[in-house]
Amino acid sequence: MTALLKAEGIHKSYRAGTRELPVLRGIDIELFAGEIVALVGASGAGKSTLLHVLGLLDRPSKGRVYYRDIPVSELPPAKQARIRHREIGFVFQFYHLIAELTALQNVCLGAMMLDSLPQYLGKRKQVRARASQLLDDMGLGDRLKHRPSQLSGGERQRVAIARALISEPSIILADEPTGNLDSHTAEEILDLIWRINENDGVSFLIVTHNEQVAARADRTIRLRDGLVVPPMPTQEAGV
Amino acid sequence: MYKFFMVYKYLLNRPINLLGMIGVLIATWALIFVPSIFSGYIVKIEHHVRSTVADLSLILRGGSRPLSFSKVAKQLQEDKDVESLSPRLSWYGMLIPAKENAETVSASDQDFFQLIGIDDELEKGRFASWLRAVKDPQLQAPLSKPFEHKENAPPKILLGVDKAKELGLKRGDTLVLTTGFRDDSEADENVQSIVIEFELGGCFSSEHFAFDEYSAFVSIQDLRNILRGSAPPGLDRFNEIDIHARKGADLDLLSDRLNALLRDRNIPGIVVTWKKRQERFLESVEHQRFLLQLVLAALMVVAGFLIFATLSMMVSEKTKDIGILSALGATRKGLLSIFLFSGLSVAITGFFLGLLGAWISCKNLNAVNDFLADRFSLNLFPKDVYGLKVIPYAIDPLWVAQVGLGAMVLAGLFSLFPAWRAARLDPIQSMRSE
Repeated sequence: MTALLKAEGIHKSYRAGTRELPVLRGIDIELFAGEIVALVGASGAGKSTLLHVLGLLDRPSKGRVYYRDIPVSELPPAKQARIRHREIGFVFQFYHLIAELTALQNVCLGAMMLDSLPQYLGKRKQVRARASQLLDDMGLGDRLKHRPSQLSGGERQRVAIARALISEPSIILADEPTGNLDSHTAEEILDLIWRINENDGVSFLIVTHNEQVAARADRTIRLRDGLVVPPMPTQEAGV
Repeated sequence: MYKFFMVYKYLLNRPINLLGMIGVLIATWALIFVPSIFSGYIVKIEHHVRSTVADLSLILRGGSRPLSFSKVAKQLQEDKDVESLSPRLSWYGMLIPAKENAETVSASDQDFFQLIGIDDELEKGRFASWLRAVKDPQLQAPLSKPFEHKENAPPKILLGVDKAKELGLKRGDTLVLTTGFRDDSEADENVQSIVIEFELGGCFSSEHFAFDEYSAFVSIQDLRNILRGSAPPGLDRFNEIDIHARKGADLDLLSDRLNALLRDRNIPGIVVTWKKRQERFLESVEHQRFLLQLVLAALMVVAGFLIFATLSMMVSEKTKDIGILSALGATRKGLLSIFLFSGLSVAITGFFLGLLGAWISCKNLNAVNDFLADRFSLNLFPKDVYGLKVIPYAIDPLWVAQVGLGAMVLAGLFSLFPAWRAARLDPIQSMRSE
């Protein structure tokens, strides 16, 4: 079975003055279509850095990232941006919505990235209808014209998820999606993620500290000091 | 598409961008409005100057022996582009109203005049139109034979209408000319003084304020008689010839051909076009306009700095958005475009509003100027500087295009650095910024 997203020997280090700080020290992982994988580890283990490298927001110092067997980490930035837009969605802990835009506009923005002005104007109605539908599905049908500052944390995260979904990605990389929410709202967001996975077949890689989230995922990858911790035999058996 | 969308949203939601737009608006307004008034003056002055001189003038060199107009004219008419010719005899002298006629006579009334002797029958209607322009019945001259007088009566003289009014003169009043004359054909080099009385035969108005102020017309025959000296009787002498060219003739080429003819025939004179004759005056006005444009262009540079400052602030404030857009698939080129388009949009909006403002200002210029003069005694644009009845303006489309292009280029240059800085930001660091 071909991996949707694969990391092979990923190293990433940052320079602090004259010193080289290794964050990732040879990561090999595979993510398959339709699965939800939890990426767990202590603070500073390199979870977010790995997520950024896999999402082509950052380049590895060494190693390769493959998307459907294509070595995407070596593509020029413009091509990476295209893949990032078409195939990968992002959801962040702090939602990262654009303050000047309404919920609907924030979602539509996700569909504008590759279109020229005439192209977008030609399909504007469909995009708005799809964005409205997505927000409605997430229980935000009456909040379309609200700006992020007028929405609660849970509502903002739903808008962020809708924005990630508008370009119909194969995989969504979520960095602590419930990290800034109360437990009840966090539970709602997780239910939403699992529902999207089940209905649309979208894969998720979720960076989390929360062991309950990890327990709910199809698979868990643990990071420690920039390396993948080999799975325990029970985990491997899925027990 | 996202670039235009973000530009639109950012500009709409950030009133600080109005600063750059207002800067461009003011600079555009000043750069179009003020030079337009200057251009209006230039167009009007050119028109006035043009109305007082012929297409070309033959000017005899000073100290030349007296020549016959009919003989020289015959040679000039060999050129097919010469339509008609009229002789002129110009002289200078002091004119003062005879005391009993003048309401007030002071030292300042003793003006130095250019006396222009003309043959009104050869003047091709232009002179008659100057006479027709005088509406005051006490100052109107007969349209036909305005210089005709009885044999023993003083010769007739015509003054500019405003000058005559200023001196308190009416038709029939006496003026005294005082001048000097040296007969070039005599061995005696002494200057003879001439004092002679003229009768005001009426007035003229050519629209050229400065010309009307210091010019007086007399019959060329009367002037020939006054300045005859030892010249043979009956010589139709002149020191200038007005040359009227055929319609569509190239005046510069005609001038070259006639000068060659003068050289070939040993006629001591030079032919100049009307523009060449007024070159210094017209060039000085145009030079003033150029300097003004240069000074006002500094305003546009200041507006450019305002755009730079507001865009730099925008990049700092929107650092997080830059990371978000990158995560959504924006390229560096796309991010650069957002900030570049923002600067250009500010400049385009400012330019068109400034253009509109300049147009409205020009349209209402006279009304506003009159209001300010009446209400506050503030004469921003004095009409009497060039003797104009209304303040003229001429919006030059080429200059408007140059201002527009300049605004765009400056806005582009000043937006480039903040835009480049935005495009170089690391998306991950950007998203972490607060």
